[in-house]
Parts: sequence; C-alpha cells; structure tokens
Amino acid sequence: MKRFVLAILVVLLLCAVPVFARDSYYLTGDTIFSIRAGINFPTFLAFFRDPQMGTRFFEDTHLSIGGDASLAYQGFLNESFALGGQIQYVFNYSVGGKILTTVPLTAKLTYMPVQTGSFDLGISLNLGGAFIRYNEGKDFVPFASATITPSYYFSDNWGLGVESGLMVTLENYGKNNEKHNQSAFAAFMPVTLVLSYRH
Amino acid sequence: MKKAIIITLAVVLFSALMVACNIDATLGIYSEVAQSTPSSDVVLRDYLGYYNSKYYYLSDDGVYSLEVGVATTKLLASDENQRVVSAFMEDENQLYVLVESKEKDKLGETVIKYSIDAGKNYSDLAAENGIKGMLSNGFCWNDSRIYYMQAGELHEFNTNTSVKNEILSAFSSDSETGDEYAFFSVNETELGGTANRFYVLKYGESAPVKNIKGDSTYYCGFQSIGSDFYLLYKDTSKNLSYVYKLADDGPKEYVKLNFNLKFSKTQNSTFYDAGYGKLVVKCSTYFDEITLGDEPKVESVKNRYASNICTADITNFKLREGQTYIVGTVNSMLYSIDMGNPDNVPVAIK
Repeated sequence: MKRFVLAILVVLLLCAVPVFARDSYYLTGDTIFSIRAGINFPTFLAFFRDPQMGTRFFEDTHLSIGGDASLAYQGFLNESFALGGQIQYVFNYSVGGKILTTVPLTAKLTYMPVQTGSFDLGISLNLGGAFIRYNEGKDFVPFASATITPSYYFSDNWGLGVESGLMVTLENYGKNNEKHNQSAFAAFMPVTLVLSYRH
Repeated sequence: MKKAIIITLAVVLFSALMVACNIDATLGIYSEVAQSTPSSDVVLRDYLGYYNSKYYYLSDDGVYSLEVGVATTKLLASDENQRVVSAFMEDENQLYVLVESKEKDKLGETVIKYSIDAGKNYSDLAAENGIKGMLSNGFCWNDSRIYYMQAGELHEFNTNTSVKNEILSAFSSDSETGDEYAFFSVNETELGGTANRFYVLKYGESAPVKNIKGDSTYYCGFQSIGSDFYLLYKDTSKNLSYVYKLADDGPKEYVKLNFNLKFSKTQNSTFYDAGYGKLVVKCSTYFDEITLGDEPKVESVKNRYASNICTADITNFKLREGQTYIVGTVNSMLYSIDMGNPDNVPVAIK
C-alpha cells in the first residue's frame, strides 16, 4: 500500500510540472460543478495523548482501503481563486468487518495556478466538519483536506481529472472527558476521478 | 458567484455550529477502530479447555478441537435433528455435551451426550433428569435441582428447595486451587410463597458454600477468590457498573467500575490471577483492574495484555497453565494472555 501511495504522489507531482505557463482562462463569476468518486487509503491514526497507542500507519490502522465520493460547487472570486462548498462520503471497513463512515461538509477554496482552457491544475483546501460513525459510536468532528487536481477538458464545459491529497479529521475529547486520552487524528489519502462542468 | 458564496457561508456556519457542540460519541471511535480484531466465520460461545496439545471449544454450531497448525476437528455438530446447547470437559478424555432434540416427536427434549475418548464416541446419560442447562465447568440444572457432572454421573447439591426457576448462573475458576465454583440466583417455593436465594456452589462438594437470602437484583458476573466471592452488576438505569462482595447477609457494594459492562445479562468476563494480584473485569471497551482491600482501587487498562481484545466480546477466561490464560472472544476465536508477563500483547491462537 505504501508503494502505491508514493506512486500516486509522484504521478500527481509530475502532472503539475509541465504547464506552468500562466494563462488565465477563468473570470470572476465563472462556476465549476464537480463530481468525484474513487478510493481512499487509510494513512495514519495518531493518538497524540496516548504514547501507548502512538501513531499507526497504513495497515496498522486496522482499516482497509475504502471509497470516497463527493459533490462540489464553486464560483471564481477572481481569475485564480474559486470558493464554494463540498459534501463528501467516505467509508472504510475495519479488520473486524465493521464500517467506518465519514461525511464531511466543507467550504472549499481552490487556487488554479495552471489554466490553459484545455488543462487545469487546481490546488484545493477544504475546511469544515465531518460526521463520523463506527459501530455504536458517532460524532461530529473538525475536518480539513488539501488536494491537487489536474484536469483535462475535452470540451468547452466538460473535463475529467484525477485528484489526490490528504484528508484529516480530529476526534478530540476535553480534559474532563473520560476519553480524553483517546483523542486522535485520522488521515486518509483519496485517489479519485473528477468529472467537472464549468460555466 | 453569489450562489457559490451563499453555499460556502452556509456550509461554514453549519459546520461551525456542529463543531462547537461536539456530540460525544459513546466510545472513542478511532480508538475502537485501532483495536478492532479480525472476525471469524465461527461464533465462539465457550472455551472448554486445553488437553494433549488441543484446544476444545463450543461454537454456535457444535463442539470442536483445534490443534494449532494441524487441524480443526468437529466433535459433535448441531444439525437438523439436534442443537448443541453447551459442553463441559472434565479432563483430557471426558467430554459432556448437552443436546436438545429438534426431531418432531422429541422436540425440546434434552440429553447429555457423554464421551470417554475426547469426543470420538458418545453415549447418552440418563435423560430422565431433564437437564435444562449446563455450564462449561460442569454445573448443570433442571427445573428443581442443581447438579455437577463427574465421572459420567450427576451429583446433586444439597439445596433446601422444592422448585427452582429463573436460574441465573455464572461460573468462576480459582487460579490457585483450580477449584470450580458457580453462583446461582433462584426463586424457590417456600411456605407462604416464593423467595429468592443466592447459592455459591463448589464443584465436587454437595453442601453449598454460601446459602443466602437473595434479592431481585440481576447480578451478571461472578468471581471466586479464595473464600471471598464477588458479583458484577450493571445498573442500566444509571448506566453504571459495580462489583459487589458477597457477605453472609447478602451482597454489599464493593467498588464502582470505571467503565460499563457490555451486557446486563450473565457474562463470564472476570478472572483473578494470584501472581498478578488484581481482580480483572472485562468491560465493554476497557479492562478494569481492581486492587482488592478495604479501600479497593480501580484502574483501567487497554494496552498490554488487553491489547487487541479490548473491544471484543469475551466468552470466558480459563487458566491453561502457570499464569497463562486462554480468552474466548465471540468473533475472533481464542487468545492467550500471559499474566506472568502482563506487558505482552495477547497472542491469537490459530
């Protein structure tokens, strides 16, 4: 799994290299609607208040590769930045066969340093919260993600891309909570196809 | 553009509200995920014992023996004609299996299948006793009496009763002496009506060790430590769990557990190792260790010997040898924990 994750990162970075010519395709008021679907890799669980539990990577998280899908709608604030919202659904199965579901609701800010009309490179930051549920437990936790999305537009409006990056949630319990030491960061790496419609 | 900004603001505001009023999960979610254990197709119900390099256990479809790295052997199965209810292994050769008939003309009738060659061949023990239940340490009962199985025969306990019902029982092994005990809460018919009584019975002795006027409390766990006896109780109305100590005039609250028991019904989720020196109780997500004494102290453990089985449903703990205990877990089979080296993580037996 580690090698596959590294390979994806390398491919994405290579995608970002060739076209840094700074043409502006988008104008203020343009919009993009995106549908994403793909897989996610559980990357780490970090129990930052419990040295015994520590940080567990990849298979040691006891989670399997899962699914990831989302809908996003953004409008361009200027030539380079687009702002909007995203709703997402993420799931992974534990080794015990139970499902962990994560439903992030976020504001999404995208910086488009590369936009040639037929090729875009977007760097996005999502901030918000996520409903998480596993077995009998459920919570609403802070959520953030940073992703890179190179896209190719095969028509004026429709484009297809690949997105990857890192999504992080924080399950935090206060000092007076008996689960204080169980607070943890959870990180996942999505690898998804992105279908975009711009207008 | 306006639409995008409105959507963004709505999402941010909604998220901020939700984050500000963080709904507390019942359990630490990622903690439970990290400690999840692989599940098995087989549902374990009782671990029976370890003899001649084989682990014997009762699953939801029969009695099995497991020789690690060699074979898993089905000894007696539930099928269209019979349901295996429970089992007891007296020694390396003597196996008792309580079976309930599913045949049309004998529906519900029970019989004890008895083997003197570790499950290779069976004979039926006398069925007229109508045994309704059997614990994996040899105690059994019908509608009116309590017995223990030994050398192929039922031995009756001297309990001063005529009718028993609502029998609730849990069992315990004494790790120092190897003695087996059981706790029974029974409703008995007496002059003037029915009354509840608590019995502590010792395998091999017909006279009850404890014979106490009972109450309506549903004690769901039991542990013997020398001449002391402890009970578990889950107060579902307050969502709290307790250990009670059984005095001659009845159970007395001893200490409150840090974490709740998983179930309010009978569970065999305790053990005491004399060398380790603490009463260990498996709660729903942690192990609670109790330092016994006039001022008992409770400490919760989820790592070391509790790792990997912290969130598992335990069937029972049973001493294998020395300070090594075998733990049955419902979905993930058997684990070995070494209380002589409690920092070691459990070892799965496959």
